[in-house]
Amino acid sequence: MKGVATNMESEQLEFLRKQNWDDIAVKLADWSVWCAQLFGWPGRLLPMGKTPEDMAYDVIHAFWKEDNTYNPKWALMTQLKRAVRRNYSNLFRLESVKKTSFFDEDDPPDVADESLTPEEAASIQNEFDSAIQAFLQHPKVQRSDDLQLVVTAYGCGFWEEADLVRETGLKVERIYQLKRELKDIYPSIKKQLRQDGGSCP
Amino acid sequence: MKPKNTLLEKLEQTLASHDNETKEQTIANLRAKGINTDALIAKVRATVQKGYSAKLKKIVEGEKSQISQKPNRFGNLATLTREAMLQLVEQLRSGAMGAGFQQAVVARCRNKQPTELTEDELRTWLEDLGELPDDSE
Repeated sequence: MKGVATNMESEQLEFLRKQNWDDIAVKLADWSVWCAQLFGWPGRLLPMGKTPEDMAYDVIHAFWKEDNTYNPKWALMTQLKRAVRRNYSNLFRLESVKKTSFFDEDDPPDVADESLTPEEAASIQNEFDSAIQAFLQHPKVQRSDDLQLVVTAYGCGFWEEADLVRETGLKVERIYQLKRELKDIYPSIKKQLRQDGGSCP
Repeated sequence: MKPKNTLLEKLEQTLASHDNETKEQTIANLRAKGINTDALIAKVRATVQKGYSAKLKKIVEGEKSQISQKPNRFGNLATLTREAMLQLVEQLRSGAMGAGFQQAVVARCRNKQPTELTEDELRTWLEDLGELPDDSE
């Protein structure tokens, strides 16, 4: 059995080595910037003098230094992103980065909760509707018909880019650009929702 | 308890996902935010190279230790001293454990005497001998 395990370890190691780590570094840094923005960066500095690129790098460093951090059950990028997000939570909660494993059985990837009460479902819908309204009232969105189209499509539950292209009539490259703009606006929307006393965390 | 994956979280995930974006586009966006992507990529490359070498070394060492600890018909060779292994070779050379082993040892000793072998070489040789078909019965 140990021979089989060793063989699997070798295969897994080769699989990890063959990944495009330049690409992973860039995508993870992008995700890290997003997480930082949700915590108020760059207006609010990260604790312990950390930068978003530090937070991305720390996860990759720990991933290669520790044992048994990769679980082939889940996509590699998903595991790395979750580790970054968890480290942000720890950084702000404890003001120190706690060592976390990349995958915990009690912490599975997000899945829709099928057992919502009607009150919970209504609360989720209200929270979402408030965010869409806040987007539509944002000055930048009000100045752009294209942004309004995309926000409205999100409000109707069209998440996929193909759906957005169909619903808005815009080209996919334009959709990417608009998503970027909405992403940059979103932290201020979240802050506003928090100030309005919504259930937003 | 707060339900998992609310619509707002789905919106956040959707906005954060740029899977179809090229690396160059993502780098341009990061640089606009003051992120030094070149330094990050260089650090990550070094970390992956170092981590890969360390993990590979660990796997190879594990395989070696697994082989040397595997008991064969001569017992657990990993626990035998050099002297004990030399005694075992003499037994094999004398034919006490079968003609097949005797011939193999005599053939091997034409090139080099067992006493000239290092402990690791002796152990590996005995492991190989242990794999020979048993003709002692």
